[in-house]
Amino acid sequence: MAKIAKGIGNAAARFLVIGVAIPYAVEYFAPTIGSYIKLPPATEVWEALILLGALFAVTSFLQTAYSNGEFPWLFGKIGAGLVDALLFTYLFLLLPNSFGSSGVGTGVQSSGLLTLVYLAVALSYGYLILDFVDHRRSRAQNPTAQAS
Amino acid sequence: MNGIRAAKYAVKAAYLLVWLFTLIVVAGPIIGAVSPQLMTQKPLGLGVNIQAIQPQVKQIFDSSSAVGSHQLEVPAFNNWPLAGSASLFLTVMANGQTLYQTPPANLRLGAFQSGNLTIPFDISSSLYSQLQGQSVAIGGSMSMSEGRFWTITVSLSK
Repeated sequence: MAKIAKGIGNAAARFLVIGVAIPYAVEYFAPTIGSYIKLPPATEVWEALILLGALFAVTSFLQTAYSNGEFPWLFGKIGAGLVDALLFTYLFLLLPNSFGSSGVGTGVQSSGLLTLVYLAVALSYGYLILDFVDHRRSRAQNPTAQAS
Repeated sequence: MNGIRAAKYAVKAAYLLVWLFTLIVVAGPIIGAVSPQLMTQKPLGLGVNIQAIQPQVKQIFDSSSAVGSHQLEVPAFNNWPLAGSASLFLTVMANGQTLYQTPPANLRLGAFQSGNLTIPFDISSSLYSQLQGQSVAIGGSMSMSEGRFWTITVSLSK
């Protein structure tokens, strides 16, 4: 029960940061940012980040409410990597593309940076698989120690 | 330590290094955009001191020899551990219309190197006469790159 409560708390925190605080900050600083780059409509940014916030909340809940070695935890970890990649893709690639041009070329070219992000996500999956196997093997070898 | 556990920690270390490198790449131009306003002596990150443009342009237009070839020196800095490059061109506008655009100036900066972007600024007599009595505005575009990782291009309007 404590783990479920902790999972809900973490999910709410993730949603508030990604789905509320970030779009609020973008909207708040829009006049300043807008002097350099043309921002997409505020509703578009809110919709995308609320959706991403909800995905972050679900994956965070699965990772916190379940333990390492359980399949929901594994799905949470796999989902978290995908959602990380989605967030960075949106911020670095999709968002600047939707800026359009304000007379002179404006935007961000970040394909190299996204490659780094995807590499990090791939490495996190490698770690996750090895950690999951290691944990299950340790648990099979010593079930009492893992249960406590 | 068994093989799986050793591989696990090696992959985790590689993951953390890639994230750290990504953060350093992302932070360079962002810190470079903010730090000149906070520390004028030696700003951090990768950036261009665009505040140096306006006084030089004003000086040219205020001088008696405005018509002719001039050069603007715009300081660029890279107080960051990764090499970068900066590019800048300027436009002269009046009544919302662009009347003149400078050629782009490019500068490559190694890690912890600084330099000047030298922008040719040629004012013809016809341009000068067009600008007489008008409210002149300086605009343009500035790009900053960190290797092949990312390039930020922003429009300048003043």
